Amino acid sequence: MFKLKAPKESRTRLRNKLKIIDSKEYEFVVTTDKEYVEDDKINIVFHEEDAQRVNRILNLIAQGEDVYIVGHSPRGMKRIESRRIHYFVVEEEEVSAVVRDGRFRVRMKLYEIEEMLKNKHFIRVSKYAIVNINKIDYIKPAFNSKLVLHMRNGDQVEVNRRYYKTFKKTLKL
Amino acid sequence: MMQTMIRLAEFVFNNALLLSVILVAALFFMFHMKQLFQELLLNKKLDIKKRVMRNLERIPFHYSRWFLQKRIVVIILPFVVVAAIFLAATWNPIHFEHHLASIESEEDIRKVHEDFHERFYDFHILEAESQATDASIMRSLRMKNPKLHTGIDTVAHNGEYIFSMASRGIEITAVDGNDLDYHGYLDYEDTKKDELYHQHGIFVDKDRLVVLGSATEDISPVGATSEAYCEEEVSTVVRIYDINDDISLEDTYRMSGKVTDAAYENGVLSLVTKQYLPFGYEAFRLGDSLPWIARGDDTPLIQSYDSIHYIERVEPNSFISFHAIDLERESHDFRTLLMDYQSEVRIMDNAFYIAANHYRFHKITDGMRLSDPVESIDTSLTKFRVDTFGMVRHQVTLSLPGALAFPNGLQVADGRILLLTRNEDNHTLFKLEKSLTHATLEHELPSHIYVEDLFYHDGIAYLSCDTENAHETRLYAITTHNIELLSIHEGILLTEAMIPRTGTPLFITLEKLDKESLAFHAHHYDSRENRVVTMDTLAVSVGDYKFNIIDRFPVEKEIHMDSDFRIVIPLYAFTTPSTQDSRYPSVLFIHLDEEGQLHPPESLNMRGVLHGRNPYSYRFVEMDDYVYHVTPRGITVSTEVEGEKKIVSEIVFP
Repeated sequence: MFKLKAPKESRTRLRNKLKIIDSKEYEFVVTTDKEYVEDDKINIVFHEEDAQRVNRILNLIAQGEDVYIVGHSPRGMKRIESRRIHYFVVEEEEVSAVVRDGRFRVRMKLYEIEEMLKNKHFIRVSKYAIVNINKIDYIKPAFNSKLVLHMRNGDQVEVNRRYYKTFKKTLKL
Repeated sequence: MMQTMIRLAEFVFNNALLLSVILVAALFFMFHMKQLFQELLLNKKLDIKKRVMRNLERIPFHYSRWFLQKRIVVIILPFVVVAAIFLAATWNPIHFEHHLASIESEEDIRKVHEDFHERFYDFHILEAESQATDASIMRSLRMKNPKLHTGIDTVAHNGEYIFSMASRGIEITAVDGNDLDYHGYLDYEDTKKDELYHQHGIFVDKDRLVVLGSATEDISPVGATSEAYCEEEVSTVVRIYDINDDISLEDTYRMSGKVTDAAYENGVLSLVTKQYLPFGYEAFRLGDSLPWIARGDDTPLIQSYDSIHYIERVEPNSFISFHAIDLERESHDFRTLLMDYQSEVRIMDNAFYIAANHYRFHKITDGMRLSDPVESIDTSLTKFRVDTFGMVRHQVTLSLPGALAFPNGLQVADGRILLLTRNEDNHTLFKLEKSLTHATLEHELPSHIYVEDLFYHDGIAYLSCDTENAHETRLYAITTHNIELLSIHEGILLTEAMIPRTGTPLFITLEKLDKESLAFHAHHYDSRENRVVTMDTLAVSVGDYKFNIIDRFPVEKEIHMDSDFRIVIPLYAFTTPSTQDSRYPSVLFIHLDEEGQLHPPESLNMRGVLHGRNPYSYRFVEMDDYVYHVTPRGITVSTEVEGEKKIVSEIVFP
């Protein structure tokens, strides 16, 4: 997403302040020197003393625009921020959004959710589930080229053999 | 290349089960290593991905509890399995104390046998071959009667009677100077009808005659062929006669196995018996083959398992029993070793000395089988002694470098034990004290020799051996510092003598130069130079004396040095053309003068006196001024009459 460009002597210091990990496919160039500006990218040029503020801006950019999902529970309807959802799963032909301490029925098809959240770090892991990468706690390989994802809330979601390669590719930078 | 492939295939075939387990364990290990690596990589990538996404809730990557505990157990498990297999393979129920293990049951014996042989390829898969080996060994054992080394002889006397072994009994002749009186023939009436009896020899003291023999009884099932497992019970029979009670049978002992050595010292008869155990046969029952001893008609006393011992890493293919029969106390005791049938056993001063090959296996054979699992062979030497109460007790077991030189690699004499061992490059002679606490390394000898005999006389070891390539018998005299090659031609015989004037011990060797000529050599030890020197040689053309040596040299017990310092050698002569009846007994006398010089021989022709079959079975018995020449046909007495040796009396056995 970001690429930090700075003179060698200040690069490590800035990286620690801004907590930037360079991506191969990046959209934003973050730099303290105009000479590093790239024409086909979005460039953020700043003075080093503004690093804290720039850090907050980078967080906002990474977080992106909030996307809300409408979920239904016995207590009624609720708008759920996508960041809070651990995963979506199809149960008894109905889609549920699982959050830390509960689940909501979603009146959308799974492929519609996948399309809607494709830029929000959600990934399809099987015919029946989409998971939020940020909510994966631990990945454990299983037999038959499968993976078991241990989610933050303690649930386990299986990565199907068919989606195994895509999942691994997504983890690549 | 082809051979390497075949060896590899053999190795895989013979260790299939173990290799399969190791392969499965290795695959299991590799699979889990791959998973572990993948797990580490994926979680690392997940962590980086979250950092790229600036995930503020991110918890830094850590090894999960599952990863640290369960996975480590799973990875270690294959190693534990393989280690457990090797431990199980090396686990031995036998506890060794000073190389000697106690046996407690039949199971222990079978376990020891399997533990030894399982290291070799062909233990289970070639059962037929194993049976064939057993059959071949058993056949050769049946045909071969052992040469007994100590004391026992075919002729003996007590000053009153001469006892001489005949075909199936003992000829007894009362002697009084030149007066010979045939006393009778001692037959063995208690021999069973279907039993094949073989006499080994006799011992005589003032009061007793002890006769030693083997009885073979075929107890194989009806219709069994010679190639099948033929059960055959070989037992040793000891008959004790009271000379003072008209030579009547006083006691008998029967014991399992074939006697291989015997000695009668201080009223105690010591015996060694061997029983081969054909484990290769399914029909073989170990429980029925336990050593036993029976006195008279008493119920046999079967050796208990806890009185059987095993010497570590010696081939366990037979029972060797050590018997002590105290004729004064009328008691007996015996101990048994699970041992190699080819072990050498000697008896000296009421003690048994046992030497056997002691194998050191490659460490890998604790778990795997190899075609040649033997890393090296040394020699185990064990001593059992008969204590003052007539009990047989284990005293010591030790091992010396090099494999035992077969046959006759062990000899005892003059309170010393000689042990000859061999390795790829040479032979080594050890001289040990009776207690076996101290071994002196004597010399290294050529490698390719076949030991015929080993003697110890007056501090010198004499080794008679055949060379593998030249097929010539060589005789070495081995002192502390030197090895002397005394003779290289065929047919060497040794006898003790002495220089009449000084009493210096001599050793006489007899060498067969060709078909009709012999050479006698007198050797003595020069203490100043610490070497054995040949002081005189006498060549004799036997043709001059109408003698011939056809196929056999006399054995050392047949040689005699009489009171006139003459070496008396039994030979038989024949007239030409040779026929059965043309043979006749004769005697060759070699004179030793006062200075120990050898003088041309004289002969005593006994033709017409003792004419007939087996004229060669001689012994010379000297009492007072008379020399008694004993053959299976009769006895002649010779003495000096008017300065010349003459036959003065004879008796022909009925």
